[in-house]
Amino acid sequence: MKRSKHQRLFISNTLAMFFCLTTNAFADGFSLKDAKTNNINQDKWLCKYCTGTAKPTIKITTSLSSSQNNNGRFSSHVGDSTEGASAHIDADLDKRAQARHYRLLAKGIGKDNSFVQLLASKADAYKAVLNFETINQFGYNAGLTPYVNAGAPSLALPDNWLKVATTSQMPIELFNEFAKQTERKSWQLTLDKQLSKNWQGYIDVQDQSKKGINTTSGNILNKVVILPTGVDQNHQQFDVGSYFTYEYGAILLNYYKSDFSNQRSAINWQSPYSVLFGGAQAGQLSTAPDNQFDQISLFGNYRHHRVNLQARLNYGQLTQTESFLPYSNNPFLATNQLPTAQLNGEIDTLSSHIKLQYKADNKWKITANYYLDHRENNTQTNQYQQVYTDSVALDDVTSNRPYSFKKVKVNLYSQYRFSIGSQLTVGWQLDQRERDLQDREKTDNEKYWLKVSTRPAPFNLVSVELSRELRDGSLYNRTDQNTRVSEVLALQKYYQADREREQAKGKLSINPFSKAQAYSLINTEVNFQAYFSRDKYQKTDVGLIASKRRGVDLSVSTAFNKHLSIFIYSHTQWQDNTSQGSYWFNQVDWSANQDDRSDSAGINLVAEKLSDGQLSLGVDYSYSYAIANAAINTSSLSTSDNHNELVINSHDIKIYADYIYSPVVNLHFNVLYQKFDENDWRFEYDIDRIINVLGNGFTNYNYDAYRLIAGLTYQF
Amino acid sequence: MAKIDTTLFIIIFITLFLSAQSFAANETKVAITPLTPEQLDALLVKKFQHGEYSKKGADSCLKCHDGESDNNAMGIFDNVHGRQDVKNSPFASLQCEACHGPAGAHTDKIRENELREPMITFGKKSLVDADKQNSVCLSCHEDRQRIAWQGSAHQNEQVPCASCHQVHQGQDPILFKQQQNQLCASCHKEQKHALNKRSSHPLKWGEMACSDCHNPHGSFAEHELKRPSINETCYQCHTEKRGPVLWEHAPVAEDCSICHDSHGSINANLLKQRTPQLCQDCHSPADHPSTAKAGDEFVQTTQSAFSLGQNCMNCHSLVHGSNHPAGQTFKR
Repeated sequence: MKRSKHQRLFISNTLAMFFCLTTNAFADGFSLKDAKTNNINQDKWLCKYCTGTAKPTIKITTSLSSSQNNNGRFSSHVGDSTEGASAHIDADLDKRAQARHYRLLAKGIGKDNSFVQLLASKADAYKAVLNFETINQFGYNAGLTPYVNAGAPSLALPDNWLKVATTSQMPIELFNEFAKQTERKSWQLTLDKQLSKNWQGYIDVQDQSKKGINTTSGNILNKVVILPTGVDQNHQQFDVGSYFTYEYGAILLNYYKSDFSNQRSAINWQSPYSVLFGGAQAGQLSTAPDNQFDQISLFGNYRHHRVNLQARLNYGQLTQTESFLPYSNNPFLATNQLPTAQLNGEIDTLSSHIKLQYKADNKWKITANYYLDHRENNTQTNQYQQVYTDSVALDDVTSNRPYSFKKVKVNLYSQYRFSIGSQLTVGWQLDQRERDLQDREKTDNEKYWLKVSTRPAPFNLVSVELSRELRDGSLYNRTDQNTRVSEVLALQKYYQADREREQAKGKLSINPFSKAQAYSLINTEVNFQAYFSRDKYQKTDVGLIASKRRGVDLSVSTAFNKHLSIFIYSHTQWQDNTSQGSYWFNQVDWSANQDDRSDSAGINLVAEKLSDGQLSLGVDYSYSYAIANAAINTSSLSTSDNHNELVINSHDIKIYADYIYSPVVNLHFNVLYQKFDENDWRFEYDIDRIINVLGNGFTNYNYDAYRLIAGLTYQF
Repeated sequence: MAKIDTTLFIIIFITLFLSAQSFAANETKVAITPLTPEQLDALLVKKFQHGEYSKKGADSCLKCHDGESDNNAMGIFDNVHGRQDVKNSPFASLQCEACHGPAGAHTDKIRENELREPMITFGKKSLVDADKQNSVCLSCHEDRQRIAWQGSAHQNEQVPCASCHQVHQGQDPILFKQQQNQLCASCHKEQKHALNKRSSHPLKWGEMACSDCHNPHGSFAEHELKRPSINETCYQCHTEKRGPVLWEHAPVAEDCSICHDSHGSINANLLKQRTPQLCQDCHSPADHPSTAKAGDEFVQTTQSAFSLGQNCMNCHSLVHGSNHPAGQTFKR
């Protein structure tokens, strides 16, 4: 660190200390334990609305839905892929009595996505919650593939498939359709138990399974197939801990275990292409291996007078011992013996956070944070033969690189409050990262920031935040490329490169008619936000050179009267990236400006308590738009051109009405309409367009879909 | 988009104009000068120290704050705060005044130009200091989920508990995922915008909640994440990316956010940049010569496997790491 940077920190803290010594303190707070109740006389505190034993409330909602033109994307949003009519049930059973609370909450029973919660608790004794949830992610439902058993561990071609050299020669009539979809099911049981006045324990158990079909690519030499691969994974988590409170704070000790298992240990697939230059007939892909993570953590905080100290220490170990697949499943390829039958992967993790806060009074405080995150990869290093795509075996060997990281972050800031709602915060942060076996062993990122916020009338909030960051580090040495870039060209990976970052953010909130008497004026609020961020990468000629992000947000809300309110918002964001590349390896041959713009806007109109408080209506409309343009200058070819990378339009309309028909019957009506249109040239190509890549056919998610829901709630 | 922007600005203008019209009609009324936050604070502290409570407890308050009131508080009886059988609930002790402080003369009749005696009020519009508002809630709610509240991002920003939580309603809306996401988005505008982008986590429609990843009450991790690091948070659902694997992709092991924007992106798979540009930010041109091409003709006619589809990942499909002995280039 440079001396001048320390000086700035010193000056800022001295200034904050000066402010502190010239101020008067506010009182500490209104904690219940400090309430003065000596003079209270509760003889007449009858509380006629208080109920000792409330009768249980049971609400059952039955809904009928109709979806038209359903689509994977729309289905993911509404949580249901059913086309046409369907029904689902929501339920809420609630019982409170004698300090006990029991509840059953169910949502969307009958839909693809549903949620059930069971709760039982007794005040100051225990709380048990059981959650069950399904979340589906729907993709395209008519993907094309030559395989007859999409999602199977061994993907097989039709018996009468004739292998050909290019995709355009493949028989389209032999292709099969498959749906890209994954379903997550998760169970979670959480039990909190009050063991004594100051001592609590808890157990949290989760089981999450993911099943379905996803896609990944398999390749042999230069021939590629996008494979419909099966997903069958399970993740179990177990968290147990004990929490102890004492006069000055609390201590929490816990143990966390995570166990991941994958039922698919390999994906075998037959190549639909004719064999080229001695290539293989079939391929084998590895999958995510089973692994386990164990972690023990100790948390603690201490508060006394003006000092608040918090600390956390985590130690964990990540292990993986799954047996290796062979170098190749090609029987005609001679390969060496594997150096070991399994990885015996082992990573030790150590993380820590210490936070110290000193509060001189309620006007000034200084906070220091120290973070440590150390990932020490102790996996054994071996030499592995270079075997390419089951087709070529070389004598060369390559060692695996078990990457280790050490991240240290120190964060100091001082906050001075001029008055309630007005404060100045200045801070300094050092983010230091050490990496093993990588291009740059160490980077230092220093950040200085300043934030001031206040409430000058008639503003509810005026806030400005400025920051500046500088990243540099040790000598940059390219270690993981097979060939070196010319000496005259520098390439620094953007997450390790020298970088200068400037950021600014402003917020403004105003109630322009706060002194008026009219209802609509008093409740009118205008919010404006703008932000700017610029990154300049230094000492690099190739790769990401500069990046800029800007955004503007404007929203207005008002309530015209007790019944009618409106909220309008608009947000625009620009993201510009400049990259450079080289074809000839000795000079920068091209540069590209990728200019992205995205917009979102919407209106929420709510009419509540109409018709003697029985009717509520609402309309939510939101629109989002994105356009991305790439302008490329190729100096070596003396060409310059640009094109749209993607254009996306999306409209969502939701109309809803709730009517209280009687004290026990409520009626609900919902309409959800969505129009989505995307134009992304990279993904929209016919199945035979790329001669050596067999995709899943022309896919996009353009649709125009709606869903009608009519429901009735009966309260018993 | 320009048309929609213009339409929205016209609507905003009309809304403000209509509001201003009614302002003109009502301007003749005399406004009472409110207390400054400092005056209010001094008064509330004095009241709290004197401890002059009402004579009839909640029954005094609910004469006005009943179901017909704009400040209807009756929903509290449908949640734990209004239960007298729960030992530590407010209604088991000082009832409304447990949180709002001694009512004293709050219920006294006042003249036209007099201010009613103030109480401790809650929420972001309250003039009461946020830390002092929160001191009331934390009297009971300082448990393992809130162990790191002091010095957390929301505490530093002076966010009162009641700007998110509604104890006067039977069911606190923030406990429902979609309502929680909308509430968080009312301040976190950039994240709200991200959720409207083409690829995002399913928060907009309430399949996930902000609190699935973040602890708004403070945590011991950056960005107030629930797990100790960014990667550990992602691994809760994306455990298949965790490894360790034989061939690691260094940025994947270091930090998922090097490549992904977790709140949403206009690019596929929440990527910060489109591929192959994203890959070329680190991998050009040592292994593959890179000739950037552009223009509508190129886009419509190219047959390049380096450009279309998954481009780089057409071949290097296991970009998150491979456990195959021959997977050093992430193809197996």
